[in-house]
Amino acid sequence: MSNQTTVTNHNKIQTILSDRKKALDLATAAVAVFFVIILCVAVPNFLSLNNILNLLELLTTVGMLCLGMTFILIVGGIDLSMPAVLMATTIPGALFMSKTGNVLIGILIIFAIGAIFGMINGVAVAKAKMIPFIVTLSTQIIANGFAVMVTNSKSVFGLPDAFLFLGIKIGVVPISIPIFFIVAVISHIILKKTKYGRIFYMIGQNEETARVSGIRTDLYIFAAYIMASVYACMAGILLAARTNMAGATMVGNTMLTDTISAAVIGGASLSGGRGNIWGSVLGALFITVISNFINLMGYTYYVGLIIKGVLIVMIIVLDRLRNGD
Amino acid sequence: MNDAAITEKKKFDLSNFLLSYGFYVLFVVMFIACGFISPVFLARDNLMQIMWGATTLLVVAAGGTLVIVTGNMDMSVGSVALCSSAIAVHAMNHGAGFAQMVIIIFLVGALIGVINGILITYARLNSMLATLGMMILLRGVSLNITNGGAQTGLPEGFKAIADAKIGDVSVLILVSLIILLVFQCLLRKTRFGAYCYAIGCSEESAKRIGLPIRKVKMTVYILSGICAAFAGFVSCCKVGTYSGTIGNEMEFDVVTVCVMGGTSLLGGRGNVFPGTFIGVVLLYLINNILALTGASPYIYPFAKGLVIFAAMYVDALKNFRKRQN
Repeated sequence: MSNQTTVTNHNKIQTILSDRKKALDLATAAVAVFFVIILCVAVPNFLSLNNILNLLELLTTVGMLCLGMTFILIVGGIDLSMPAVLMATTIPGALFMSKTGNVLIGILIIFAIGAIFGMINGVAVAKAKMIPFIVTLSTQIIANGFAVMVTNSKSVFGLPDAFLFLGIKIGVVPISIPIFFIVAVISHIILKKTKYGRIFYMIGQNEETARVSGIRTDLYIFAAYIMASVYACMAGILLAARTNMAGATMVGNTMLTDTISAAVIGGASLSGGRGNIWGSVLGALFITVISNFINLMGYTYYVGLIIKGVLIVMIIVLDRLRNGD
Repeated sequence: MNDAAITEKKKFDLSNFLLSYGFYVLFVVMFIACGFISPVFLARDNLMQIMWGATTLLVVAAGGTLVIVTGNMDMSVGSVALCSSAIAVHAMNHGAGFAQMVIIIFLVGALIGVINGILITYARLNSMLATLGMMILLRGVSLNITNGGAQTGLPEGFKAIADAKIGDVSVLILVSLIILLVFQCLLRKTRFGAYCYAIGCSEESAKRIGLPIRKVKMTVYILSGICAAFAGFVSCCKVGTYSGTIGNEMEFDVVTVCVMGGTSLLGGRGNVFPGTFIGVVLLYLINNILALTGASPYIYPFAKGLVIFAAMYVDALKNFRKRQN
């Protein structure tokens, strides 16, 4: 009898909890919708086709980084070096391309350097068991230093036309938008439809359990860091092709926090095991919309920082409520 | 056979010694090497110059070590340094004198510490994300207050403090060293310090045995805020002007020097003196020797990153060895 009561009580608690979760999910969605409505009313050109395409084009950079970050967060790590790796790979590649005009080798250089940075991160985290925050913090410093050193802090211009093809528009649609969404779909398939994706989640939830059940956790963590660097390279290539330049200022210094907060908005957790691609894409879209809003309203960079900071704190409070214990 | 056993034991001890004190060995080796590379390096003035540069970071890192020992993180220190002096400068423009400015600087630091503490202990947010949000928010606030620009014409008091000397040594250097020692005593000699280590080792256990976790964490964040504000004050003293770049990248530097000095990001391990102290000095030593040898300034961050990575790697090897034993 008492056992039965416990069970009912348990069920009740479960229902209450899931109700609360649903309510909070709804609240999040409502806030987002409300925000978009405000945007449409307050900002005159917000819903014009031009602005939407512009938004999506901007989305490709932070979105691409965010996809890589999602993989890293799912296995329970963090990669602070992604924006720095973006620059440290794209600048030498762009330099080579502008000197020789050889696009293929230029892109190969970009990916090769990216793979090296990914390997440094991966080996240090997976094999030497160093703390991801520290490892990627020092690779960030190294990569930033490398980016500045290669060009003595000058920007590279005059990229070959064959490379700029990645930045052109087909009709009105910039080609980088479909590329980004194709990459996102592939990432989604890897995460949700293959056993490798499941293993990523498993490692993030409990690395020890995964290891004991016979999974080569070090290989998967290593792979996640390589992937993050590859995503950073892709983001760099699209960005360089769009702006026809590569330099130590090609990504702003809020890019790192933008990327992390986009992933967290999208449902990833810093303690690992949670996160998904479409959530991250939406998170990145949200961050881009905010930046766009700040631009269109003509606020200064400083006010933009304040708005972003408040939003980040609000979002993690919401996240805390949604997943609180 | 006996001999062999003894030598083997000795060998093991040596490698263990190198790993445990690897960072100090690295420091001594670099120090001696620098002495050979540049004849000026060991001159009294040059060593004073290194310390003079290090004063800002020394104090922030002392507070930062406390936060990291409890297993948390404070990413907002750089922005606190900027924000406190920005508000003081704003007050100056409205007629505040030197004494009032100093009071405002420290009050703002303490206040932000309280806000950080509430977010982390009462709202139980992830300390890294919460302070990351605060970092962006506060930078926005401070740049907005002062319109981003630099400001000259600070009261004479700032300059006077920078010029003050006891014997031959600058007062600022002495004060920062004293603060370091006070924090070391706080950690090692008081009950509060013991609580910090206990919370860092396992917050769950600390809660079970009834330690005042919230109080300790609040205190730690307030101390960190005050230290960061002090750094802002020192920056203003040293340069004699206020600029919007105060505290840039400071948060990463703090984490770096703490970890180099043997403080574990997982919490529960580390000390302010000599650990963090040597970490800070090493960071400035690298810049100093590069400047003395006339290296291209674009190499600085790269070299810095490499040394940091090496230091972290030694630390990881040490932990790895410990886990195997």
